[in-house]
Amino acid sequence: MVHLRHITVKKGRSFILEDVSFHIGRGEFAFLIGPSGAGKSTILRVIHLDEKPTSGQLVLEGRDAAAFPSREIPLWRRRIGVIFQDFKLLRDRNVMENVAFALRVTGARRGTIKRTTLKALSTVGISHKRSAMPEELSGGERQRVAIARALVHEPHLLLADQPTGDLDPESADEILALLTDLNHRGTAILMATHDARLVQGPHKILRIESGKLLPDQHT
Amino acid sequence: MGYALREALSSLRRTGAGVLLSVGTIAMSLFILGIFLLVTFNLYGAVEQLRTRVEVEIFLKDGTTARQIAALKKRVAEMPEVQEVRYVTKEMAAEQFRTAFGENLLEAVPENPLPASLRIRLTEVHRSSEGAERVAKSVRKKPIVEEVAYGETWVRRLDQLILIFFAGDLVVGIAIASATLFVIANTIKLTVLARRESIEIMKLVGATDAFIRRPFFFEGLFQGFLGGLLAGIAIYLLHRIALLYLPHLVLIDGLYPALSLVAVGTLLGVVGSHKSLKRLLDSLG
Repeated sequence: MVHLRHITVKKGRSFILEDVSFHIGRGEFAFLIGPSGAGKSTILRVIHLDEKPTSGQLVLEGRDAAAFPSREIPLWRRRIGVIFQDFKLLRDRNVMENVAFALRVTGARRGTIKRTTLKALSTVGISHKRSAMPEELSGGERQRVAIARALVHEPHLLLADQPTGDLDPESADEILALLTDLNHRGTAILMATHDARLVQGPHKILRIESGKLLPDQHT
Repeated sequence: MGYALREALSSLRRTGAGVLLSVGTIAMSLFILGIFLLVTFNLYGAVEQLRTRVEVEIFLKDGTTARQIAALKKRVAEMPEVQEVRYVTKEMAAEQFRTAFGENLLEAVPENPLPASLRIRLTEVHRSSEGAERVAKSVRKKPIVEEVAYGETWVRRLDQLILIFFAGDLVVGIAIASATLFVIANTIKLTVLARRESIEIMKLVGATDAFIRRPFFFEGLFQGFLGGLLAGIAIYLLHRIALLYLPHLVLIDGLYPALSLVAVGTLLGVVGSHKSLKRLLDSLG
């Protein structure tokens, strides 16, 4: 589904990513682990088409991403979900509006927006807080809202950039359980983390250091 | 479009104090520009009034026949510089003299010494020393012409005065307009930047640039229009007050500068918001 082939990202003279190659298949769960500044977020940004690689090839669902016209980039972003350590919720909108917002930007009908939003909130177990404002929620609850927002487009792939980084261990475990559940329902997940405790289960592990994938982890 | 408008209005409601501040800043900047426009329009009006006084007078020799006068009048009237030619008889000249200087002076001489003349009003674009001189030169050598006068020194001075006024006005105008543009562009830019996080999130969830832009278009339009309207009302009121206290100095209707400010504010609001947002969207990729 997503192939990175010899991807390099350079800023000035320094390499943020250097010759990174791997792929994520449908329904796969992969951990991207490494210390801070190793390049984990940059890899997710490349897949989300926020960052253009300096060289290399990114293939998304069989198509070379370099050939995507700029108007197609938002369409690709709707097909993948993304969540972050800092949740990135709109502070001036309640839970329901935050999740609905992702559908509103696509021009979806009101009825569809309401139905799909409630379903996503229910999937992540936060529908009872749909009228709450983000600051009234705990970190774990906020991340659930962010996941619900990522789910409204029923993405094939969910990119998770250190989603448990700001959470206590109990909340972190709950979020990981939720992601695992989503994966069992068919969503591929690429989760960047430097919390080795979370890396468990029969999942693919991609280790990155100083912008390079460790050799034995190339797939 | 309905969504963009609703989103713009709800965003303006949410950021109430910030919007008031930016509308106030825009209004204040435009008000200063408005004062300049008001002064300029009035000075321009005053200059135009002075220019209407630029006339060429062709004094005719005594004994010139009506036919010769008619021929000269026709010739002069055909010149591109000339708007209107009036024939002033010796009697009319005497009458005007009496009105200006009193009865007694003319009584002192045995017969009317004042010559008949053709008074020429120049077209608007030719009301200058060059225009007047061209007309004067074309008739000065005619046998029936005694003398041609157009207040040469006065007209030259007026030309210089107008040149200095417009040069100074242009410099001050450019400075004030640049400052206004700078302040308004930065005010709008700050309101856009304050929403950077929201814009990032919009992009994150797959909003197209056009979709993100639409509410900002309405917000920029609203802020610029409201700032322009406030400045326009203030300028109009200032104009009314000036009319009360300085009725002879206020020549131009205050409505034009006021409406100009509404138009300029709206335009700058829309353009400023579009440019700031474009730069931000480009930087976000």
